[in-house]
Amino acid sequence: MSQSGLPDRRTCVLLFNDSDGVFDKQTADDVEKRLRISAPSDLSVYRARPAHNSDGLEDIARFIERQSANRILIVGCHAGTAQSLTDRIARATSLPAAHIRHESIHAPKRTVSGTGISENEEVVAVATKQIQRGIRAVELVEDVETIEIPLNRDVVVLGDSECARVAAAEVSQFGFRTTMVSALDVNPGNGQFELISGARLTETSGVTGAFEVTVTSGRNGSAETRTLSCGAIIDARDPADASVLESELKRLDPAEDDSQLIVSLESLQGKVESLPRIPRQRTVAIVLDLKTDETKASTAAACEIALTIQRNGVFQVHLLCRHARVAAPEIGDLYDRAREAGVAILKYDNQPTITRARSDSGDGVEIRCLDTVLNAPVSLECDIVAVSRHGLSNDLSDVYVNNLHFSPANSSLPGYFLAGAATGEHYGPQATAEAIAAALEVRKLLSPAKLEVELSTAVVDEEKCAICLTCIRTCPHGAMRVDSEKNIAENLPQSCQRCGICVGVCPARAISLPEYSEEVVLALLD
Amino acid sequence: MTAASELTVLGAEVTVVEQSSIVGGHVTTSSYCCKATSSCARCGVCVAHTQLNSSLQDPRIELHMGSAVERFAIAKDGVSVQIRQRQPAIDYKACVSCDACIDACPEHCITKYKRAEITQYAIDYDKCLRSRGEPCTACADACTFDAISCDKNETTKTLHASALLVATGHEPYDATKKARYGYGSSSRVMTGLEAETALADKDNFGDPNERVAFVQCVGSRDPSIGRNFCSGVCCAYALRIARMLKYRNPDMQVTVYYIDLQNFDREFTSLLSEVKDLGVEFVRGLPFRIDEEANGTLAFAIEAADGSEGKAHYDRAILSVGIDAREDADGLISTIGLSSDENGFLASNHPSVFTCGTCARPMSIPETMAAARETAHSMWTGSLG
Repeated sequence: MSQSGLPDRRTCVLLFNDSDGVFDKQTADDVEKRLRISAPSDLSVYRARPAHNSDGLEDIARFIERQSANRILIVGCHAGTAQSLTDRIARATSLPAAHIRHESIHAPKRTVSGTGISENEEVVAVATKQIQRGIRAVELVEDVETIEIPLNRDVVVLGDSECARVAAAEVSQFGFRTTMVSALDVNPGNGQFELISGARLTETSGVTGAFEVTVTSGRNGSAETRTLSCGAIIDARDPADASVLESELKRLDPAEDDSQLIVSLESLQGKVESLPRIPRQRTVAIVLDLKTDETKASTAAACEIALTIQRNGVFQVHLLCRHARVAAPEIGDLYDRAREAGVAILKYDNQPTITRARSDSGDGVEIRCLDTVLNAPVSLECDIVAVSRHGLSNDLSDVYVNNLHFSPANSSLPGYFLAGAATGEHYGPQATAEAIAAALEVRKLLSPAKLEVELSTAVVDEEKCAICLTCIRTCPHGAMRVDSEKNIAENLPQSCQRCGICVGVCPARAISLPEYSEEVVLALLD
Repeated sequence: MTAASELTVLGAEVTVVEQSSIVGGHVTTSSYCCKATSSCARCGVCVAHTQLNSSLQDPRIELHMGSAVERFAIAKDGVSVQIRQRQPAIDYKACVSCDACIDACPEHCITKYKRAEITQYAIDYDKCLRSRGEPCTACADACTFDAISCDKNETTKTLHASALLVATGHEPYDATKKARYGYGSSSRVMTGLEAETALADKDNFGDPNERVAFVQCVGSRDPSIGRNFCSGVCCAYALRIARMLKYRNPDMQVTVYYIDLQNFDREFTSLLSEVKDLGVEFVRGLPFRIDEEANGTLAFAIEAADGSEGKAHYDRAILSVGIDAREDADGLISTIGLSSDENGFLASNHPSVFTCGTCARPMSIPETMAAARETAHSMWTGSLG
């Protein structure tokens, strides 16, 4: 009979000598003795040393198999060590990770004496009790199955930047069939991937390993829709797309194309070259951060264009920004060179106003803003004003806003990876690093032929669920959806991270996690 | 360590050679703290700790602690590195963090660093009796888990590999070099790192009603001291620390003196507006002197918009020091044949040798981890070719 009274549960306790001075060998010996006295005969105890090499692990796995243990309790090591060990034992023994529990021992702290003799009866008593409780808890975890879910090994990369291209090229080099969806026409380079250009994403659906991505190309009358199936998505899109820029420029300067004086930063070079020479020096202003903070990429691009135009000698360039983003040595250098060449930098605060104006010298543009160095409002009259599109929009995609995973590439939705502008910085070297990090994550996810998923994920009680949709709205990982046949909410085990949020928010208490079912939790409170 | 972990996933066998007896560099020793208030500050410190923990546990990564590179040669198919391993050396796969070695050491050479789930022990090799030729083995004798080796004086080993990665990190800028700011002479002037350590170990420092001022760009963007580059991370940590201070002490007066504010991720705009809403004041322009007055207050000499000089008074100054290249890198540079730029940052001259992280250029924790993955990927594909 096991601790829990359930006849088919056999637990093996992996008893380490603890960290932080709670256990030493003698204490562990005493605890083992105590356990064996009060425990039933089918409790096995393995005295472990930190088994971080594969030899030690093999020995543990063999012991577990010989004992026919189907539940494991790890005691006496750091939580971090236990986590790593849990994963490796699960793989070595084919036991589900949900059947492996770590118990932290909270006992009065004592210093290990040189002789290693334990005299502390209290520690032994407390530890034994906690271990017995842990055994009961792990035995109460219901049997958990592992299922195999087929993975779609195609990949979709979204974006029109170099970052997106690098991601697509790397992923296809790893051997996955890749499609890049770009809003603009881009050059795929040597990449071995399919390119759909002039298209934008209209919908994403599906689950980790089996997404459906719908893209639409063309505009208005001639729109064409295509749905792509893939196992992973890399999102390197820039929220500040061409249409946002177009409408803002039109709003600021409704004049006809050729007589526009407020233009995009990308077209500035061409614009100044097309202007006829006149006796006085023309003024050009570049405005960054107009509605939202821009990044290093914008400072670099603006400084480069400003420097080129200033060196012409024909124009005086003013660069207006809230902050100069120079956190890369080569950008700092470019900024200094622009200043040395005579580019006037104006650091402003509050919204600048940009309006077309007529003055004695002809048609022009007036900019008014608050100069933070002079601490006074200033007005600047220019011939041409260029606006950077990245300062016009900061629409964060949902997948980024609720991102719990701070490491590069990962988002809250497993299988949906972020890189470049999607994470905030599309400056070349940084964005490239992120593209490769995302590609490596895709490779990790899609390399196995099938996805093995342990069903220790959230379970919905059919009788209690009222399809109120709370769990579906709250899950940050997109792991809950409506099962229209059964008429209940359904958990998607390939995306579920077992965070427990759905369990907590369900008004009907209809959801549970096997490792933390009511029985288990009650056993732990004992 | 991120690169090492990524390489093992790609299929490589990895050996890490670390000069000190701890891994993680400043993430471990500088006590970077969690900067959450009611929301995560996204600084990446906890992610770094998790990465270090998993790398330390990884059976596929061989660690040589207390080891320095003595010789380096380009070999057929890669590189050959001769290392000199100092002792005592700690095997973290056996260590259970019982602190017996700390108690046993007669010279108090061992310092414990407990960060999140990892505990490491830094041995001061200069203080250790063995460095003076004395045959002390107190720490190894005290360790009942055979985690410390102390049997030889030094061992030499030659390692062969297809590629070498240099990721030796950085030093924070030494604020005593900016003498005008009074660091080192006034106890009320501290660096951002010291502020982090104080906040990591205790809940707070100083008086909840204090007047605190941050000075940005100390050791960065400053041609007068020969450091004309932006370190990038100081605006990020200053804003996050300012947020923590104001959140915990609403009556504290917090001011930030800056040139520009560098953004760090998509949340920059919202973090900045949150910090302003909490009442943190921002002043564009750095003070040119900080003096401690007779009554213990700090006087900042500042220039007003009209060019006139003024003074502002605070109880505490936090200098946001930047990332500096390590001063002790010369040996490594000449042994491996690396190049270093005018600021001391390293670059490789050979396709089998790579540099990554803050030894190559200033960068933040998340950027370092992304760059590490990219470098691991390049090393791996390079070694296959």
